[in-house]
Amino acid sequence: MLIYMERIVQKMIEKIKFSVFSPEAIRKLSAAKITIPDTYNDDSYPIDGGLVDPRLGVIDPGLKCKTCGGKLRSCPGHFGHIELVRPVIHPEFSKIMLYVMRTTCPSCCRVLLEEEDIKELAAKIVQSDDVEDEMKSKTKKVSKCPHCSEKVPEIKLLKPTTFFKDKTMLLPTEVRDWLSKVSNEDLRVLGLDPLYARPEWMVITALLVPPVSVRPSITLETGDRSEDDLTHKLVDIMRINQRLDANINAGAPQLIIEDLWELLQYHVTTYFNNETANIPPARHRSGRPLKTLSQRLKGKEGRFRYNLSGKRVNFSARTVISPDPNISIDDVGVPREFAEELTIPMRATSWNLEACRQYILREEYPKAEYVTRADGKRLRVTETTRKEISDTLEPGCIIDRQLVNGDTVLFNRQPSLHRISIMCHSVKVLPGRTLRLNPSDCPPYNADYDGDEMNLHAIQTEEAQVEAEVLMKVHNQIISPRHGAPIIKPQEDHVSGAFFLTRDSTVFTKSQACTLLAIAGITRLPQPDRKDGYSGKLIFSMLLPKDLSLHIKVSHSKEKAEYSQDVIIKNGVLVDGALEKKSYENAIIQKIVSLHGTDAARKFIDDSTRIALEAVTLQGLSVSLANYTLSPEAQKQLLEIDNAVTKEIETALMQHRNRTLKRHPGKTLRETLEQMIMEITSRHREGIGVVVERQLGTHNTSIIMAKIGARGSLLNAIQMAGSVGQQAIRSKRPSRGYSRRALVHFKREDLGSAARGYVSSSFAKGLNPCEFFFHSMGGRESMVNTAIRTARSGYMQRRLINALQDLVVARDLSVRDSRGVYVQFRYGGDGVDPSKVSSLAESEEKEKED
Amino acid sequence: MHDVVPKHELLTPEEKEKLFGELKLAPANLPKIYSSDPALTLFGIKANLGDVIKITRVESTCTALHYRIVIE
Repeated sequence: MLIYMERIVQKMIEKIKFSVFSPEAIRKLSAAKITIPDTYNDDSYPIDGGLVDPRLGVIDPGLKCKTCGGKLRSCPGHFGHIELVRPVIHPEFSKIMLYVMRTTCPSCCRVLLEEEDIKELAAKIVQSDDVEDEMKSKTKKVSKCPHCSEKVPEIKLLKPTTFFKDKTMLLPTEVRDWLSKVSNEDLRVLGLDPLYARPEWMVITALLVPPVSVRPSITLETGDRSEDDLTHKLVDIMRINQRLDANINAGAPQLIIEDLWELLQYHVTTYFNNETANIPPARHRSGRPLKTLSQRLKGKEGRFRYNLSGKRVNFSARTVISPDPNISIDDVGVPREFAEELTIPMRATSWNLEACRQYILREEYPKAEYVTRADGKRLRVTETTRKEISDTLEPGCIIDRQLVNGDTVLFNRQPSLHRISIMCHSVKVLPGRTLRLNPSDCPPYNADYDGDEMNLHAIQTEEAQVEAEVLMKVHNQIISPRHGAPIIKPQEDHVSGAFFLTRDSTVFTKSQACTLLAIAGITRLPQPDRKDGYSGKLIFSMLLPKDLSLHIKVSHSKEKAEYSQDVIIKNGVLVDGALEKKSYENAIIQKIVSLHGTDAARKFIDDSTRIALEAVTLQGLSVSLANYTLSPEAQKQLLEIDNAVTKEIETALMQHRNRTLKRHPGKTLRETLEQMIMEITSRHREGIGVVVERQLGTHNTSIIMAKIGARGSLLNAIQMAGSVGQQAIRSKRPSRGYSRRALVHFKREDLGSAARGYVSSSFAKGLNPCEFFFHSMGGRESMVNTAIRTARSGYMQRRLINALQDLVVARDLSVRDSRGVYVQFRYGGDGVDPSKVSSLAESEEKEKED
Repeated sequence: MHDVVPKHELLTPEEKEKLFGELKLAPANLPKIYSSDPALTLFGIKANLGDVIKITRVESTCTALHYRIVIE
């Protein structure tokens, strides 16, 4: 059936059976019968027969377990039991007991069905979930027992543990008697397996007491012992049990006995689950609700989600990240303090014995912390033991040495939404107290440096190191599996720098050219290509592989010849055009990956970004208020546009009032008006954009950065220098807030531009209070939207991951689940891995055709 | 018929044999389809238990084939 798995799977779990403990099983399992409702005596020694009886295991170092003779570590702990004087209902099973009682007769204890029906059902023994429902509906209308003709009573359950038979309360003993009389055959018909779950076992007569290691007591600094919540609860149960016993033996009235019995039931109920509905939770002396069995397992802080699916690990580090463009994208800068704390096991062999010995003998930073000898003995390397350990060092020893440059580590930023949220880096130990990350690595982690923290894991085995290097190394992730384009790419200033470096006007002196090339480790200075020195294009070309030829069409090439023309690379020489974001980060990197592989691409990104940063430093790139200050005539033009907006809106309003406005198809008159106004404002925003762009000019750093895609957009510049523009709430003009107006500063039903959130001021000039308020309304909306979107998409992602995590692409490129059932017959329908497909290949083919 | 409904075809026993041989798969590994599935009614297919339905999905990037086994 499962061809590709059969070789790996040796044993398969067919099923898991959960069952109920019988009282006999509990007594057999029990290492000690608990009789005394106390823990330690006055000499702080465990009481025999108490709740921390030494037969239940040991938690104090030095003591020996009376059952298995083991010590603190070697003894796993043993269960004990309490004999309850009167049985109580197990609160978590009350529903099943109710089911059995409703489907059986109280006097003859047979299933409430005709003999033939029972036989028929018994014959086909179906173990399915709906046996219960089926039986319920079958016996629902039976009013007289078909076997003994007894009238069937109405059984009710008052949650969690009280049963009523025709409005008289059933005592747990009565319930137990009833259930124990139901025959094995009848139970099978009801869907219960009498071998594993007799219903009368659900009435507790012997209570299992977990070993002390499950509920260890804590010794406070004052020397007092503080017991676990479970122990407290068990003490409560024992006390009531004893009082009940004493009262019964003294012949107390039935009323008092039943009261105590009920109290015992309460304590047992809360012992299992302290959040049982309709029951007040049992509290600690301080008023804090006790954490009992159910609470230990349930929920986010429970055993499953917190401890079992939790992910706290050793050999890991976490702190704030900060940028370091001078380290490689494969590197991660690790503070010296971290490197001293984290260790990596190093296996001594005949080849590296001397190196291992050096680590042991060193007294400072790259030193060995522990040595595990071939016989498995672990020794700490200290000043006194150092000499001896180094003398006895032999192949087979394992040395735990501190982290050094070049070690393989995993680096991660939460939320880990995709596989490139955890990548393999090599260590670079640096001074300082932050983890350093090349800015080009930010997009896959979705990191920035405004206080983000990241986790680092030192890989402990050679196999894991190799696996991480091959599968997870940063340079192997340059091309994103999502869209096949680079995700590790030059950022912001890198793009600005590359643009300044490669535009036609850039010329460097010999010494500048040497500095730039030396950054990339290039020591051969090419022949100058300009009479006054070396062009930036020449310098940049030195980084390109000789077989790289590209013609990158830049979309807006016609308008601004100064910085947007087609980028032409021929045989590794940048012939024409200045690099902007698209050509730099997508085309060139993609091409290098397909020609020379990811390591060449890594080197290209490392070197070109460093050179670009040097170039941008030489050039100088800054932004000031002057970038957004307009000349008087430009301001006049803006004023005119502003007036035109007001006027056009006025006209539209007038038409609306006169009912001469032409209704757009499918819209009401009011909607038509709103649509027209939106059109007017957006049309004039473009006008403002033209004015601003013309005014600020092509040498304005802000405009340059927007145009080449380094940072910001034209809209940002327009809003700062020109006008902020129309604010929108739910993509409509603000209209609510007060009755028939958005703000009290306007007349009711005022549909004018200012009254409905048009902000004509610029950020440079400043907003008036009304504008500011409208802007805040829009700002709040976008903030709320982001908050909701992240929460919702996070939950959706979680569910998707849970649903898809076991799917595997098999060798034949089909996608199958863990049972081998096909999900897709070919991965993605076409069997294509996007990260292995170059989007360039397509366009190149087209070119060839042309 | 709406054009987003992918083409459903009933495999002949020979085709079925070939499919199981070629993909080295067992009927249990195939996704299931009810014999009462509306798509089968739509294509006028009368399928019996154990028949295999071939579904041809034409997508923007490729034409993907799917196979489903008829149950009930």
